[in-house]
Amino acid sequence: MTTINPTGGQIEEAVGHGGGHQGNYLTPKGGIWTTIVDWATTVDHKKIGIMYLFTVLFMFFLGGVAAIGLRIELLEPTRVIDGVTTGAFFDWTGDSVGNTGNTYNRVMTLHGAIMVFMFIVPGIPASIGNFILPLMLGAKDVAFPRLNLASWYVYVFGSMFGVGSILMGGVDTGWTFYTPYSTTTDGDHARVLLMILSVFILGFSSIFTGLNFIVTTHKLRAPGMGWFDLPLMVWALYSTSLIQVLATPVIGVTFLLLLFERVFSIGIFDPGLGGDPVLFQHFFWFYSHPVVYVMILPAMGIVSEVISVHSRKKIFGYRAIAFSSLAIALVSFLVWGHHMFTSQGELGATVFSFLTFLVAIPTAIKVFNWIATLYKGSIIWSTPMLYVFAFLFLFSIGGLTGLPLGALSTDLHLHDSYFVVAHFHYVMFGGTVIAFLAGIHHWWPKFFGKMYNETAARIGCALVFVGFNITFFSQFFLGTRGMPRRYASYVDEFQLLHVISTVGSFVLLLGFLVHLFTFLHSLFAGDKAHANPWGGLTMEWESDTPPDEHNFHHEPVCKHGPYDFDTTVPPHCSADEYPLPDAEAVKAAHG
Amino acid sequence: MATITGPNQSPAGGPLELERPALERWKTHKHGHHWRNAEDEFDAAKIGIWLFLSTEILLFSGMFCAYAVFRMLYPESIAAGSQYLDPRWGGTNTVVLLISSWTMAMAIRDVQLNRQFWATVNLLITLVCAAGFLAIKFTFEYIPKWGEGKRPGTLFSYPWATHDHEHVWWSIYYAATGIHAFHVIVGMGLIAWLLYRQRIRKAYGPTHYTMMEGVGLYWHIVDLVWIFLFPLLYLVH
Amino acid sequence: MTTADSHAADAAHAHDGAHDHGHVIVPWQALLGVLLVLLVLTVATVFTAQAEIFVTGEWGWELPGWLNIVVAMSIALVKGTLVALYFMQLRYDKGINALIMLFTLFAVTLFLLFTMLDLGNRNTITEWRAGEVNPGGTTLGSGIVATARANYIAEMGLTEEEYWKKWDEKHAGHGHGGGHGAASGDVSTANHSVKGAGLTPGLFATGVWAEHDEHHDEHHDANHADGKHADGKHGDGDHDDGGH
Repeated sequence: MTTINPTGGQIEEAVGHGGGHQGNYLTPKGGIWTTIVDWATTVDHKKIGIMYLFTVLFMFFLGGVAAIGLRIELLEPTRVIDGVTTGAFFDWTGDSVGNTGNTYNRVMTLHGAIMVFMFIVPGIPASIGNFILPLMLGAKDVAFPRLNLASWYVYVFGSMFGVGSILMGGVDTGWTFYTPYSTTTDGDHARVLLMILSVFILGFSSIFTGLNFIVTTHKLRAPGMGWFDLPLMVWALYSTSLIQVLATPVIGVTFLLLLFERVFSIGIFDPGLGGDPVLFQHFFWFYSHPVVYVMILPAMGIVSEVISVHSRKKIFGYRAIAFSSLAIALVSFLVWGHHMFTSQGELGATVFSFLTFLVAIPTAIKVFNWIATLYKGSIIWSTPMLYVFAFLFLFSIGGLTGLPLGALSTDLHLHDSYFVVAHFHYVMFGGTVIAFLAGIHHWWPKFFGKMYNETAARIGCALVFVGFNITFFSQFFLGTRGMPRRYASYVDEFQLLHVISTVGSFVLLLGFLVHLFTFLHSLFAGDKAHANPWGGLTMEWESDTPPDEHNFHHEPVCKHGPYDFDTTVPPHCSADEYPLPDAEAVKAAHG
Repeated sequence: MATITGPNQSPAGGPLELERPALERWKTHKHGHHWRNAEDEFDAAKIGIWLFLSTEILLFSGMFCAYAVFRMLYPESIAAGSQYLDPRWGGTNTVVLLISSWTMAMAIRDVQLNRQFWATVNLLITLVCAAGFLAIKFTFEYIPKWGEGKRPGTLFSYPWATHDHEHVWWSIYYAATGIHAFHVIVGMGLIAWLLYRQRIRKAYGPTHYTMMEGVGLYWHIVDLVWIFLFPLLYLVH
Repeated sequence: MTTADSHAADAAHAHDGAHDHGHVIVPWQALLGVLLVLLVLTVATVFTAQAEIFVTGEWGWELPGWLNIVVAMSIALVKGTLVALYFMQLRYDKGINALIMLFTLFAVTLFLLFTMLDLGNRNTITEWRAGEVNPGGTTLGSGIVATARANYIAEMGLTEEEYWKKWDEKHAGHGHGGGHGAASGDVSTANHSVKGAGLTPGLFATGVWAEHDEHHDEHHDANHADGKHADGKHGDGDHDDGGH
């Protein structure tokens, strides 16, 4: 295993490669106002991707602040001793213990709704995906550039409704908006209405992105690029987009009906009016379960890319990974009922429990193929690769703890407990966010043409990994011991584990601050990046770094597979840097 | 109107190019810079539209699902509710929509053959049919029924109901047909816009009619949804 | 990712292929023919629905409950397919568009199927739930339909009896009760028995709810059981539809 400092070596020569050209996509078109107008009206997928990246990260920040607030509130249980209240962090005014629970519910909903609808669903596809999908395909842009820009505006518009609702006092329905909470609480305010509208609008943004990606993948591949020459990230994004297009309309109609229910009390979901609340849960999870895979599939795509490039090894089982992405997309529509084991009938619960275990098959196929890829690879201990290792570790824990939740008998004990909270954070954070970070670091040079400080980034990665585990591993214990989720207070016995969890969340926060620092430092004072710092073979590395306005100088032609490290010198790199193995030796090794 | 420059070559087979050729914008349509050719652009637009249609179908499937669930939960109320609707009006509306769907398909055919006059006529008929559908819906169904108190949910005030969950029936009825009517209104806007583009701007012809095709497909899906809504709401009991 | 694959996939991609797809001009005879078939089918579906009511009402034939929905939906399916194939040109179009539709229909099927999967099983927990639920409405205290009725009675200054007399007159005359009650002949009284507050007997009609009704329903009368019986039958018929 060799350690390569990506900032060293032949940077100076390589940077000059695209020199003399009329700048890149980041080059300002004129003064400050011209530049702002240019960005606001751009149809360039790269700029839209970058705008998405920053808005999505801003939402992550908002959701993160809420999360820290929740952890502080849970640092100690609310106690009233001799008329003195302690442990009620959210009780700003100090006049009522009831306030703290009320506020806690709102902050919890805020955290969930923002993180799910405004951060993690659009997260990877709309930011990283938007930027690199056309580049990976060798295209000049996505199929419908204006729709792409519309997607961003719709996203911002929808998020404004959500944030507006929070600023007006928030909602305490939980991010799932279960009826009758969502039809009866805060009856005198429009806040719930705004939140519902927000999610409804955000759905359009999601559909626009998904639709665009599917058509782009079909119609804009470079000459010579067949379906099995696609990078696995593209397969992952394609599968994601299928889910986005097929599942999101259902949340649209669900929230439309919820809107009618709330405004006109039409009695479709409200049991008090003859409606069926379980129907709402079916509707909601028909969207929200597939969307779990909208969150994780692009993450898996990133892992496939990073793991191959950073171990300089052809990906093991290309077709298995590609088809498992499609299989996950398919299975995602079969298992939504496992979110409602305790509310639906026995038959439904049994069938859904059985189907739920199907998810394990394509997921395990991916994980085993990634591990097989690492075998005998030349692993670079770069930050993206460290994050991929973190992903493999955390995602496996997340996946395996899903099994007791998918089995009916154990789920009866564990449902609605901190075990569930820990499980889905291991998948959503330990899976998606960790891979998102891997992806940001992997493509950061491509985005901005600057390198980040590798040492600082590694420290950040270590802090995130350690902090995350402290925060959420403790919650598995809390859950199995009976701590229910969504409570502002708890019995004294749970305090030690809650304190550990809160301490972990601060370590996690520290890790993110380190990353924030490295990113800002890189943007303002980072070294110029090599055009292909990791020696990647996928087509985005053939463009300049950062790419120019139209991505490529000439229409690229696909001449090699995305992971043919054995036979291809990476673009912008020399054979000295990346020596090809002896052909005979390769032959002997591969049989 | 004088923005068009360059040669105005008629594509092979355009029979009626004598009519004011200099203003026919479809002949000078340029495909987007990121496409290799107009063919790819057209195919991509069609895939995009079909994907959009699939989102529409899934949107309506939510209404069908709610309908089915409540039919099973409250079979009597839903059946009784269905009796309040007059299949004759529903049937008339079905016929109106089917005819509009046909004229839409004919309008596309006319544009493909560059019979601009007939394309305009067909689009106009489509538009009139759409307006007729809404007119029938409102004058003979929504307004009288709402007036009698046959309203959704807590708005319900009809005193002669026979079953306890008839308000749920009306909720489903108004939500399903309301969402459908909204699609009809949007469709009318799109068809009006097509008319403007086709007649005044002369934007569509044998070599370029992507938008006609797209709006046409959308209009057919509106028709398709009604084909299923009609028997479920009016006929099944 | 062998070269052969790339070539095959590229050939399928065919971006510079002949202009044979997507620009088909559908013959007008086909379009007109499809329109006529669609119109005939529309008339047919209205007619079959009326015929069924007629057969049940006049001749007293008990047709199975699933029959009319199956017939109506089959006709709708044929109509929908015709629209998709000819008006929407799926028949002439590239395969990818048809594939998208098939995937969509697959998703719709899953959605409808699994959502209704457990409907028949819901009442297995009703036994434990019954005590907590205020049947027919926690918000209004009584059901919405009953509230509308009570409001009307109060507004008009009628007595209960006067109201029900008017109710009987209103429902006895025309075939309002239609298909579901025509067979038993005493549709109005059967419906009369449905109490003001409570779930419409359907899937919940068995066991617990019936007992629940008996305990709490002061307007209980002899026709009650008959009403229940008829309802149960409808419930079964509807249950079968769920699969489609």
